[in-house]
Amino acid sequence: MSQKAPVRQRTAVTTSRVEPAHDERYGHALEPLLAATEKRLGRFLVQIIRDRTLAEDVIQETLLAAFEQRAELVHVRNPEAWLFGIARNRSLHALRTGRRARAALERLVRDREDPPDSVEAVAIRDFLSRVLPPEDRILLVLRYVHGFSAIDLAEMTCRSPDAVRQRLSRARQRLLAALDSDDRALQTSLRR
Amino acid sequence: MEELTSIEDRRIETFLEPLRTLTPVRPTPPGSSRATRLRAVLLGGAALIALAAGGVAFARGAFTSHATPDRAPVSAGGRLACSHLVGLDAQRAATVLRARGEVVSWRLTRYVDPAQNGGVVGFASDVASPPPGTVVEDIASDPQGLVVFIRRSDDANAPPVLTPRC
Repeated sequence: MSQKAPVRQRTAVTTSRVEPAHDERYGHALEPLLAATEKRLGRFLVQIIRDRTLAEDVIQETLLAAFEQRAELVHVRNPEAWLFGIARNRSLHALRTGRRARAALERLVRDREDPPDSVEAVAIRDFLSRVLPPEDRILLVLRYVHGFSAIDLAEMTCRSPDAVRQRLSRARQRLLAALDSDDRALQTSLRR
Repeated sequence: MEELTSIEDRRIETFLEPLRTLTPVRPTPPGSSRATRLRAVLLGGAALIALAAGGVAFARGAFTSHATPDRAPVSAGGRLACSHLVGLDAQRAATVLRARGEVVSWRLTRYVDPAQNGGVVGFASDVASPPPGTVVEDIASDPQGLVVFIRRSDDANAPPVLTPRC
């Protein structure tokens, strides 16, 4: 008569590869890049995302993604553009997936105030988000505030430089039209 | 950086210039990460929901107990009404209940003299099956099935068995 063996709880066996926390080859390239760019990156995110909590969220994700993808750094032409490209993609994803409501919820338990920014800067950011879709807004900020070239932007967006120039041109026209319309409305109201 | 040539380019660059003054965000320190904050919100929400559910459950229990004070399965309308189980020999009751497919747990009560036991009227213990010489004195139900309270038929300290209600 065979005796039944006691049933034991199965232990999950993981086969994931364990990588060293600090990769000598790529870590050396990433660390100075982050040190030199973190502040600009943080500013870029508040320029395109009105919600500061969400922007904090995105910078965290960006740095994590950069660390995970650090092996790509040896191939990229412009490391800063590579990092800003990651931030751009994360921002677009955050803005499109309705994470604003969650960020608003998180704000309820925040224990600090937002820093006082100039009214003009905040108004311009709000104006941009009112008149331009996120992708155009981000493209204009990267081009005109952070000075990335059409080639950099093409690498960030996986488009051709010509396609980027066309999109930039359309975004520019749209912004200028909105500015002119705003000016006319202001002058009309002043004349009354 | 490419040379900005057109008037339009310069106009947009000037318009966007104040954006450079915005205070940058920094990666949050570990203790204040989004996950931690979100966990705090969710825990708070869960606590509120649990409190609300507890309140509702308490209210329902209170109202039910006032509206229908006796919900034992042998009460009028109960699924064992008129089965004459109360007062029946416990071993016979076990046979009847097994035949009906009921899931039963048994509680044997040993009654004592309250005057000599600090007001305690008896002690109940779980038994796997009713011992010989015991009778059913009450039946209750719980989510797992029926709970049948039994006692020795010759227990001198026991109160009289309630008569069946049919």
